[in-house]
Formats: sequence, structure tokens, C-alpha cells
Amino acid sequence: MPPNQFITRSRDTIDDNSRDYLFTSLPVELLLHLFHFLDHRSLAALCATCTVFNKLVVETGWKDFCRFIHRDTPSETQRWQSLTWGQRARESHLINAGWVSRRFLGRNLNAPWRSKHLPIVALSPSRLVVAVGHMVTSYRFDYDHTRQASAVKCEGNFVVFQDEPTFDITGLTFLPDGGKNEMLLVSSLNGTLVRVQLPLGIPQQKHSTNQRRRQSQPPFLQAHRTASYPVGNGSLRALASQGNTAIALTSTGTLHLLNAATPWIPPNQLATGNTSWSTHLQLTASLPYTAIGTAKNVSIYDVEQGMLSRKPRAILSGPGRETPVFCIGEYLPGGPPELITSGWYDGKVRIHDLRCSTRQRKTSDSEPPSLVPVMTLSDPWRSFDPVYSLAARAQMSDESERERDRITGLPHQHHYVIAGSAMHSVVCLWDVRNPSDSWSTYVASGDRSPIYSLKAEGSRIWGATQHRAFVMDFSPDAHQTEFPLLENPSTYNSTYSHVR
Amino acid sequence: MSITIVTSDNEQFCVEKLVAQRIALIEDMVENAGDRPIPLPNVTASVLRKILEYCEHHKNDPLPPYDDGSRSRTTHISEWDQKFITVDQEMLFEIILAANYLEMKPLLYVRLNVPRVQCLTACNAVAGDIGCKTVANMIKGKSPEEIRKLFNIVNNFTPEEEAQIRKEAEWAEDR
Repeated sequence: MPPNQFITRSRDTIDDNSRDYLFTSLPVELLLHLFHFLDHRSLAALCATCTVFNKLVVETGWKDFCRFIHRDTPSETQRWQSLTWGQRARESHLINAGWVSRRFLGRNLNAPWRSKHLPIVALSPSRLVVAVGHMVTSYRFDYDHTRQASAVKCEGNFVVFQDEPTFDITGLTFLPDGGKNEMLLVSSLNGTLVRVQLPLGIPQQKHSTNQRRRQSQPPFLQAHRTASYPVGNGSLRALASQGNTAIALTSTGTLHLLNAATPWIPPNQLATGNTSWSTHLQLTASLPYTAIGTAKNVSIYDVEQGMLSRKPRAILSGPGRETPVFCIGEYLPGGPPELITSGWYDGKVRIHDLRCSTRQRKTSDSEPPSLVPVMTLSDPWRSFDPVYSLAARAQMSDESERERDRITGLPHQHHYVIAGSAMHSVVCLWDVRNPSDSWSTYVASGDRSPIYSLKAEGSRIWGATQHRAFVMDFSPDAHQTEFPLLENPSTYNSTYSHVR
Repeated sequence: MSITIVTSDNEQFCVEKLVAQRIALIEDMVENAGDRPIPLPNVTASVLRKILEYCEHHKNDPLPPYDDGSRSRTTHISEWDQKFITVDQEMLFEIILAANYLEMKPLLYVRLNVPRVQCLTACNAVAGDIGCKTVANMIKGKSPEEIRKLFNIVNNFTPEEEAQIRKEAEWAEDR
């Protein structure tokens, strides 16, 4: 057979002498079906055999492959869109491999703040905002076309509570504003709850190059207050929102449920009387609920038509004695909303399933049922350090994919629960399919601080310690220059395995 | 009750109706054919014998759940199916093609009719899963050169193209 002979036969032209060509002559729909069963090595090898397979893999095979393994990173949307499907397959695969083999770029986003803070980070597809004291710093996600790289740029510091600068921000979430991601809901320690508009897109004064060089600090701007909500005098401790619905929690356990779009309607209130630390809101569950982390356990209250149930629907139990819960989050973004993750004072992350029937014995009929955790995670080397913050990784980009994966159970692939420890800036990462083979890292080393806040995407983890905001980027092409320019960026990150 | 099927090489098969119902195309034709034998001009006797063997073995299996095209990348094949599909390459591709013909073509006529689609997937397993998984297992771990040799694929790249493709695929090699 002469080499370099083109294979252009289709099924119709097969004759009895060309049985040898059966494989290449399979109808395209069957070949594409076959690709479902090939891993990245096989697809790459097939891609390099001949022009027919090359075309099929390049045009369809890689796209299909990505559908199975890609986890969405909204902050890198622009760069992702500039890649071919072959490049996307490479990237998705290497990112997942990075999470397993602990390969990432970790660094801080700012020069350390002078005093200690309890910062909060909030994430949207176009920007990351970090609340520090009474200020909010905003980082915009950009794409550098010439370098073909992501660019995270600090776009300014915003004063939210100018009249009361001594009160810290305690809660920060994005509100829907048609994709601009410039509207925030902000709560403060003195009990103020406001909606603010970041003054972005305002033409800033032009400086000469010299002046600009001297003014390396980003501009300080006043955020526009567009609404304020009457939530009484209690000091607000935590804030959660989904769409325009928000829940604000005071340290004495009073809940305020409100619609951020209608500030003239007073919030629905519920005084639980329990010392409380954290809250979580989940409206997509078949029975929408809010979860409150108290000094004892987690209480679940129903949310129905803007009203909170007067009594808890269920109690999520922990170690069997009263233990404070400092953070609550969703278990799997886009996954079953009845699964709920909580971080406890005893160093454990507990996952409860509200649909679960395994419950502790009721002490009396008037008591709500007490659910036991379906999974408990901990870092065996730091088993006494409380858990201060939580995040979860595994999100599929498109709605129908998510629906499909909810049925097939595939999202648990490459799914991680991430927790911020109360000591030494330790971030723990558990692969939920194999929690014992998980790992932790000291990020932004130098801070013997808790990790106060965490957010996760497919390729990035964002978070903050008492002195700095940081990023962990698992993208194979991640580079220092993507992030804000700093004089002495701290990039030392040591990791350790949970296997003892 | 049984049905008569005639293959492309004019062999007649007498098939139990329960077994034939596993084959969507035949089920479709039974409705129109009445008592006449059903012709299958694209399938030879040796291939049909294999397919009937599969249907016979799986005739009492529950119908698989509605399949929306999603499946994990597992290539596990059960023991009986493994034995069943241990055939030469020519027969393997003939089975895949025949099953595709017997199942997927009617799928085009009756798509969106979900109860029918559920029935169709039963024998689809031959075409779709067992056959394709077997081919996937043959490809696994092989270099482009080995795959070419295995399936008699002719390398029609220019050396420059091939070098470029190799370079682009470096990431997939050993990580």
C-alpha cells in the first residue's frame, strides 16, 4: 500500500476488497459516539493518525471531551472564549490534574494591610470585591489580547460607610444588576444594611505619566448608596443573598429576610435569641430554606413567600455537644440544594443532607428533628483548629449540562470542598470522592492568621487573611503578571498531604 | 409466536417475537408486514446470528432507562458481553454497523417519541456500548503509529503537519 494515500472513502464506496478500511469508514455518528469512551491520550493519538480523524477530533472530539471534565471559571471567561476546543481540552485536563497534584500559583493581591482585619470576599463573573474595615477594594477581570492572558486589575477602593468609618463591614454580596456586577449589598457592625452602586465607568482625571507614577495607589471613591434597609439596632454579623432575596443576621440571632429590590417593604423578622455566627440562603431547594450557624449547631428555617417559619424545620447536629458553627455554604454549586456544608469550632467540616432520614432520636414531639451528618471532613494535622470559611468547586457552565450531571452524578468528579482554617493561613482541600487522600496548603505565608473568607471557581480559589487577599490559580499557564503588580508579592506556598 | 426474517444472503431466520422486539427496526416492520417475511438487505446471516444471540441472552433484561447521550468514560464490559464481542475486527465492525442500521435508522423516524426511544436503546447496547467500548479498549494506550497499524489507517499528513500535531498534543502524553 503506498504511503500518504488519502483516505476519502465513505461507507458507500466500500467494496469487498476494502474491508481493511472498515474503521475509517464507520459513519460519522458512530465515530463520534465512540469518542465518548476515549480518554485524552487516546483522543490525542487518534487525532495524529490521519486527516480524517484529525478533523473529527479537532472539530468535535475535544468539545465533547470538555463537556465531561470542564469546570467553569467565570473570572476567566474572556480568555476561555479565545481558545480552540483542543486548547480547552488541554487546559481543563491540566487544571484538574493541578488540583490532584497540588500544582498552582498562589500569591497575594495586595501589599499587607497595616492593621488586622476580618475581610470578606465576594465574587461575580466580572469582578472580585474585598471588604476591609469600612472599605471595599474592587478587582476587575480583564483579558489582555496582545499577551493572550487574563488580567486581574485593581480598579479602586470604595468607601461605603463614610459617616461611620469605625464600623467594619460584616457582610458583602453582589445583587443582580443585569450582568454589570456593580451593585452590592453591604452590612456593617453597627447594624446598617445598604445597597450601593460602585462608581465605575466614571472617567477619571487624566494625569501626566509622572503624576501617575507617584499615584501608584488606586483611587479612593465614594460608593453611591442607592437604598438602605431598616433592620433595627442589632450589630449585623452575617449576610447571605440569592438573587434579590437576602438574609441578614445579628449576633444575637435575629434574622431579617428582605427583598433588596423593594427597600420600602420592611424585612420579615425572626428573633431566635441564640448567639449566631453565620448564615446561608437556599431558595432553589424544593422547600426553600435559610440556615443559621449558632453557638450550638445549625438551625434550618423555611423561607416561604418572603416569610421565615417561626420554628426551625430541622437541626443539623455536630459532635454531640453544643459547638459553634462559623460558616455555612452549599456543598456543590449547581448540585442538589438540599446538601449543605458547615464549618465547626471543633475543626470539622460537616455535610448534611436535608432529605436524609437518618436522624437522632427526638427528645420530644415539639422539638425539630436533628439530622446527623452524611459526611465529616477534617485535616488530621490540624484537627483542633476551628473552620472559619468554606467554598466548593465543581460547576458546569451550562444549565442543561448541570441538569444532566445531576442525574448521572458526574459533577462529583473533580469536586472539592475547600475550608479556611483559624490558624496559620491554612486552606484545606478535600476531593469528596476520596477525602482521605486530600491536602492542605499554607497560603500567603507570613500571616499566622485565620482564612476569613473563601470563594472557588474551576481554576481559582480566592480568599483573604487578616492582612491580605490572595489567589490560588491552578491554570497551567497562570503567571504572576496576570495579577496586580506588587513590590514584594508573597508567592511561597507549602503544601502537605492529609495522609498520615 | 415467531417472525421470519430474510438476510441479504437469503437465509431465513425464525425468531421469537419477544426477541425480535428487542430490535427496533424489525418491530417497526412487523406492524406493516403482517405474515410476510421481513427482509434485511443490509445484514448478512453471520452478523444477524450474532445479533440474535445477543438479543436472546438479553431478552429478559429490563429496558435501560432513557438515554440522553450522556455516559461516563468507563469502558467496562460485562463478562458475557466480553465473550460475545471477542470476534475478529471485521465481524466487530460488521456488528457495530448492523446494529446501527437496525436501531438508529428507525430512531430517526420516531424521534421525540420517548416510549419508543426507550425500547430502541435496548439493542443499541450492541452498537453503541459494547462494540464502541471494545474499539475504545483497542485504542487505549497506543501510539498514533500503532493505531494506524491496527486499523490499516494510511498516514496522509505532510511531515510538517505531523510535527505540528505532535507538538500540540504533547500535554496529553504523560500527565
